[in-house]
Amino acid sequence: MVATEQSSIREILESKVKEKPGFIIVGEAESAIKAMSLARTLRPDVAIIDSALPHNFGIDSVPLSRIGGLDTAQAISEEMPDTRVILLTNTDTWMVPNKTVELDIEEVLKGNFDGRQTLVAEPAQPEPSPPPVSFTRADTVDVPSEVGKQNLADSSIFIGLLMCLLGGIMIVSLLMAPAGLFVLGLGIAVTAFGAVVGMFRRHADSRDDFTAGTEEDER
Amino acid sequence: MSVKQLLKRCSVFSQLTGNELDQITEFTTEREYASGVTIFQAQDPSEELLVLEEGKIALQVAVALDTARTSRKITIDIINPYEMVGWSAVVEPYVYNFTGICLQPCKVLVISGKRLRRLIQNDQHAGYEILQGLIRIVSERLGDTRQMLVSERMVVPAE
Repeated sequence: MVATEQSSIREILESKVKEKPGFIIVGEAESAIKAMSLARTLRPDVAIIDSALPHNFGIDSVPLSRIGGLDTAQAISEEMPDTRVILLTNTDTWMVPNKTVELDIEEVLKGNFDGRQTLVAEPAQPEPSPPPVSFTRADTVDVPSEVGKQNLADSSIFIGLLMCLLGGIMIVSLLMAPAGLFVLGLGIAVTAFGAVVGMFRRHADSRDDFTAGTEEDER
Repeated sequence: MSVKQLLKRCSVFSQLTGNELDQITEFTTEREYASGVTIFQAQDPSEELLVLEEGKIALQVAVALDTARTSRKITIDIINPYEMVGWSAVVEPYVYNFTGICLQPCKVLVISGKRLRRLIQNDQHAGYEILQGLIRIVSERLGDTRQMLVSERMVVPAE
């Protein structure tokens, strides 16, 4: 089970889980309330909780407090001792352009989180100690990303339009009309190239969004 | 970054002079905690102020429930680098109001509460600036707690 407010983070976690054979995501939640409800219903083997999880969402007039992940992790850990709970504590650093997240779910489950074993300390009161919650962070590394393609389209259009403008000025000034025609033609070609790349990229994005939305509706 | 520079970046101590900061560094040490560790429990005697250098600390309050033997914990605030916790070491009855848990591996500056109280009593300017800073923090925490109540923060158990 995965609990995070951000759909982009859910997508990253889904891809990391899919990398490991034998793992499947049985439920996704975007708030603490829904996460608790899902955990009680599904009784997952593993619950991955974002520390920046809001308690509830959809309350338009009330600002959300996006710090409910720890509470949710502790509550699930106490109510469902058989569920291994993993708390992700640095998802705010994941959304960096041209970087990808390094997170091996299997290694985390083995206990290799933050490079050393961590446990919730024993409480002072004579209460039964809750099962430990795993606190972990995922590092980000530089990789070429899809953002580069969009930058190519935007850059091409910008440069192409500049060339068109320059070519037009050269033609109008009659100083270098033939050269101006060449520059204008080249500018039109570069602009067209950028437009085509941008259209292709937007079409690919809208197809991915449609697929994600369809899956969300089915759930 | 030196201890003095770190203290300067904390809002509580940002208005102090270099000499005053030097006095505080004399009773300040550095400490590290692993993630998941409970640094202090609510209602424990408060003897130290902590200035977070690296990592994140969650401040939680325990809410007793009628139907369960154990209590439910609610996170009131997340402490980020250069913020301070443990202001209750300066204010009677010197008892922690919240429980502090490290969300990430943390490095903190630990300031002796007793010696800071002595500095506040003996140095008028330092005492004024430090208490001003502490009032700001208490006010912010009060606002955060109010927001928690308004947004119905508690996670309830199954019936």
